[in-house]
Amino acid sequence: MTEAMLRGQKGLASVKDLPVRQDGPPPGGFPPVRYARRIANSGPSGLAVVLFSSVVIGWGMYQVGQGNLHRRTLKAEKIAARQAILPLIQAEEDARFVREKKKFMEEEAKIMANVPGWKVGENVYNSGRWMPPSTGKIRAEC
Amino acid sequence: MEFAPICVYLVISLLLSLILIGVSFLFASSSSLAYPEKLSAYECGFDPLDDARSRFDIRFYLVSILFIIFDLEVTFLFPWAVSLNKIGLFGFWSMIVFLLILTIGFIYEWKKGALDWE
Amino acid sequence: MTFFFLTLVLKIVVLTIPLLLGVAFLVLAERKVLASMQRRKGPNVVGIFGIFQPIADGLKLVVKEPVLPSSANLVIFLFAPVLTFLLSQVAWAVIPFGDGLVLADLNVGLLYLFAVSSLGVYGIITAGWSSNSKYAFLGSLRSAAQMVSYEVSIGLILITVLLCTGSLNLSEVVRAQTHVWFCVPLFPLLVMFFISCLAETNRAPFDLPEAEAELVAGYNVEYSSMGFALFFLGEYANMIVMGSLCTLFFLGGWLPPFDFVAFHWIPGIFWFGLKVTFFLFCFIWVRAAFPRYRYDQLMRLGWKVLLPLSLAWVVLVSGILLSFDYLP
Repeated sequence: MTEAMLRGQKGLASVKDLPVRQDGPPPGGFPPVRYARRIANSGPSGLAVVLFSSVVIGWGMYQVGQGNLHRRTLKAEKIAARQAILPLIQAEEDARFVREKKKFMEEEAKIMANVPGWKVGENVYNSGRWMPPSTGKIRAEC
Repeated sequence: MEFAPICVYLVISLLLSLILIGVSFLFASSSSLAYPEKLSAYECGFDPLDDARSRFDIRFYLVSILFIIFDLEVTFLFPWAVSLNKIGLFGFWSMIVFLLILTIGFIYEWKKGALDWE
Repeated sequence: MTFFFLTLVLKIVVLTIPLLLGVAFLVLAERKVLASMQRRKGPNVVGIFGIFQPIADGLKLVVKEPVLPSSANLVIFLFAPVLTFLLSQVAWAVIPFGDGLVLADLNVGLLYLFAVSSLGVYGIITAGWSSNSKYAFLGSLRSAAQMVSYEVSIGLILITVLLCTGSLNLSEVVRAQTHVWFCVPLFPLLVMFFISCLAETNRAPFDLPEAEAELVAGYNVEYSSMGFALFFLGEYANMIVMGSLCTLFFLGGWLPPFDFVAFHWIPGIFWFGLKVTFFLFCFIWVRAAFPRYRYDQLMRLGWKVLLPLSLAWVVLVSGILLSFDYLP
């Protein structure tokens, strides 16, 4: 009864009179299915593909080469710019180092004032040469 | 100094993965205590026939050894490729000699069948 | 100092969260795209167009019971998915999304990526070994042998790209392509690299070791819940890494296709994302279109076809660049 109600058909004696609802082929049957092989034999030949790709690859490598040459000039320019300002930067650093070393030696003289036989500053190696501080810093606690 | 982000990233990813695994254990039910079959190894419903750690095919070992050889070849190619403009033609031909020796080895093992079936 | 670490952690969070979201939605995208290619709809129940499906999947995996097999070595068993997921995350540290937009601008970025992908094999082997199950062990051995075979051809193709670039820095690799993308002179290498990436990440048509119908998901047969989820996430994150590598090496990273002014208004991240999406679409397309390779056919391809070809390309490209003085 509910099925008849659901399908909305009136005047039926029982459910058995309802039309059967099945999943079937469309009216007129299905269209014919292609099952034969259809492998295309057209298109460029192997030689044509090889030649075309050689041209593309050759042109591409030429462009890569041009780009690399341009990058070489950029790199050279960067190095040249850094070389040009190198003396100025080094001079600034040297001046800063001398200032810090002077301050450090004054403080060392203040600390070691009453230690007998202590030569202030320059307590470096025994050859007569200038050695930069081995830690890269003047003071150990920085 | 450029590697500091990688170290921190490693630690954070490790923490993330451990948290993800830990989260699942929060919801662990104790039904594995009720059904010990759940914990046995998978063998299409049978009890495991013999030990899983039995012998395995020697071809896997061969593949690994071949990988080591060619991976070392690639490792030698890395600095060569970066510095090719400085080492010029001499460097190029030296590397070609090296590659030739390895290629002869490769052809030998191809002919011997070490690369077959797998 | 603390400021430095704070900005670093912030950068890592900004990198990781979209990555995890991307991986989650890639899972959904794969199902939807595969479905479209098979003339059906994918998941579309959970949200509009199935947007919340990955969240539902993640939630399901979290509340599942983590089964620890009685005969497994527990520490290594739990460590293997952690390792796989960790490596797939850590590879993202050196990938540049735009000019200067990289977490760690390593001067050996390429070597780092190669090392990370080589370490990925460890996760698989430990997973199979510690499961103490014959199927898992066999699957992991086959998967590891496959990954390792295609590592070699990936390395050789990287060498060829390196020859054209002159530096291992990944940002430099992209900057070297401002004149012409490397996919133009090296498009056979792009095809070979794509195939090797498919095999490296155990994706179809090279997914025999983990195919659903074959070895019953291979090395992660004993894993459930978050262990499996971590493997899964690791595999998809690896896929996105490989897609990014393809764009960085061959398709010009963040660079726009042509040097028009209008294209430069669009930020580089957008171009990068577009190209990676294209490659991920190709990954999924290949999965839908091709039948699976048998294992011996797979190994034959890796050793007998791709290795000699990529080696020949290294010699060819180095010869061309050296003889015409085109080296960087």
